Amino acid sequence: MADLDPPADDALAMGVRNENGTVLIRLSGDLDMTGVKQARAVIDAALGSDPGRVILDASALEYMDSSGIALMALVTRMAPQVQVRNPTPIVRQLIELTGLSGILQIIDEDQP
Amino acid sequence: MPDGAPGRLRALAGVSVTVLVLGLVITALLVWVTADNYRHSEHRLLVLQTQLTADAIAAADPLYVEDHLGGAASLAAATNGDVSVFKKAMSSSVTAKGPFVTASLWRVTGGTPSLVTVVGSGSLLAPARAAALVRRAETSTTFLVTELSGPRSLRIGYAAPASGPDGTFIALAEQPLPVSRRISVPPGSPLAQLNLAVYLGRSQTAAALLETDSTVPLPLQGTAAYTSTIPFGDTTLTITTSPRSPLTGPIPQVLPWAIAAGGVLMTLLAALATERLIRRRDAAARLTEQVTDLYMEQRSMAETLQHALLPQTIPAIAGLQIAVRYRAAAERADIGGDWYDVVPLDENRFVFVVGDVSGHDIRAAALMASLNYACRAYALEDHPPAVILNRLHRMLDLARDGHLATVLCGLAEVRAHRVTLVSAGHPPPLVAGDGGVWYPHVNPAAPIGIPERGAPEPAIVTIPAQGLLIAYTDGLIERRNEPLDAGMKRLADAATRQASSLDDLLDGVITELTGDEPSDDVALIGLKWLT
Repeated sequence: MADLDPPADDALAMGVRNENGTVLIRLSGDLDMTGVKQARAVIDAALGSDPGRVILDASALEYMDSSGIALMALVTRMAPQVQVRNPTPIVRQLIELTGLSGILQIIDEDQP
Repeated sequence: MPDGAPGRLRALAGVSVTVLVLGLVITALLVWVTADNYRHSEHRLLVLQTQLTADAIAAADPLYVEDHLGGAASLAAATNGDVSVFKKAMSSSVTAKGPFVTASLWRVTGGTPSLVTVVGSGSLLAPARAAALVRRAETSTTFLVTELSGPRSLRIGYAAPASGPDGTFIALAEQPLPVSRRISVPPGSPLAQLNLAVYLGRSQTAAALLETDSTVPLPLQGTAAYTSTIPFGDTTLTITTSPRSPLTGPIPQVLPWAIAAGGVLMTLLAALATERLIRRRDAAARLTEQVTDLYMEQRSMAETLQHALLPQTIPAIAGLQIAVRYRAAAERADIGGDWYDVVPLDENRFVFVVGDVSGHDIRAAALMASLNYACRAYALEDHPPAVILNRLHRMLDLARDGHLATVLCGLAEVRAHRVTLVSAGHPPPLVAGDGGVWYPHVNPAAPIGIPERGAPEPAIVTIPAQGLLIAYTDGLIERRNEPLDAGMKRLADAATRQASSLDDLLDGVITELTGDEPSDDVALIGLKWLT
């Protein structure tokens, strides 16, 4: 049952910003099965009916499992262009290993 | 409900009984202390008021007799029995209003009393008795008191001696008592709160009663009565009192009862509340037990279903040893979407598949089953792995179905030691042999459920002599807060350990990578070339 009650410091935190048609979603903490349930609602609300470009800022995403990668894959079915910014090694490897680097474009850029 | 059906009375729980008993004991103690305190206060006040009354009487009655009768006797002794002096001295106390109705002066000469003079009239003392009283008074240091009874009245007789240069003189006086012996006390007096009875002598008999204002029958008795005595001439006055109403006021009297009622009520409430809490806790415990049972039942059903969906037997392939494993995640009631399959095509070739549908629910398991069977059907039609996966892509849409699947599909040619691998988002298999362990590069296509833009790219891998291939799902290498390559490194290390058989090797790998309780489902295929 441990994965049903993760400690508070492992919890997922999200921030959403909308800039000129680009939705910037910042993910931090853990994007696991518990986090995905929470993230799904936030992402649905943030993307709305006609989203443009979506940037998933994964620079503070400490952990992601297969349910997290499934969520990111789902975002690619909701928006025409999805980028993952500054992913941590865990996230980067998962994207590459699951063959999603073609649709989840990884961008590395300096933090503003 | 195994027990405790609603409406059925059950015995109180031990804790509730303890609360009840404890509460009642505490209440009883409080009541006792309060009641005792009330009794003590009442008694103290009664004693205090009785003493005050007694002091007042002691300061009035004996002194009056001493002053007036004793004074008159002394004057007579000093004036050698001057009649006019005695009469003048007694004139203020022998009056119609009392206290004395009559008085007389006697001289004792050589033990013989002789009457000197009389003031007032109507003495009840017979001469002989008067003479005896006088003789007795001669040797007394204080005045004598005696009771006299006449035809219509009772009197107290006093005899006060005084010695002078010319002999001893005794003054006698008689004081009438009211027939009823009743006195009235003004309402404002402190005595108004008390029943009071004054007796001559020590015995509280009706005959000895001097005065009373009691509203209850005499003698006053019981624990609430208090008796005090004061000296009165050669005898004593006995003063007995009892309170008419609580001296400390009405509240201290009812306080013990109030405490008793309140205490019992609160104890009952506390016991009831305790009982309720205990019953709720018990109900919750029973519920937890039932939920646990249901959970275990559901979990075992899920496991049964999962195993039913997986191949029951693995075909034997000549020149090859094949082992498969499936481990359900520990502590999880739901059902995983991991699967494996081995599909022989001819005596030399077979297709093997390892897949993982995202999510853990019945839908994931159903999707797993359909992908598994579709995969098997396409394989049996002898399609190459890339085509098999390409066709699977059409079966699932993440946006529509809410699930995606990663699949590794391989076509093995046993004699050629060749394996053609295709991956849809699935981690590459591990290959071991020739003293080395490695992960062949398999360029993954997107998982099933994501529309694929092109056909998956096959990778052709040559297996060394007596080489080993392990295909697995990510539950084996995934570990919290660790990149996947760390898990792949641990798998490579585990696969190089010596094992007596392929089965032992796979068991060892699972145990080493996931412990005894994997957090996610794990499916595993091991292929060991015998040549």
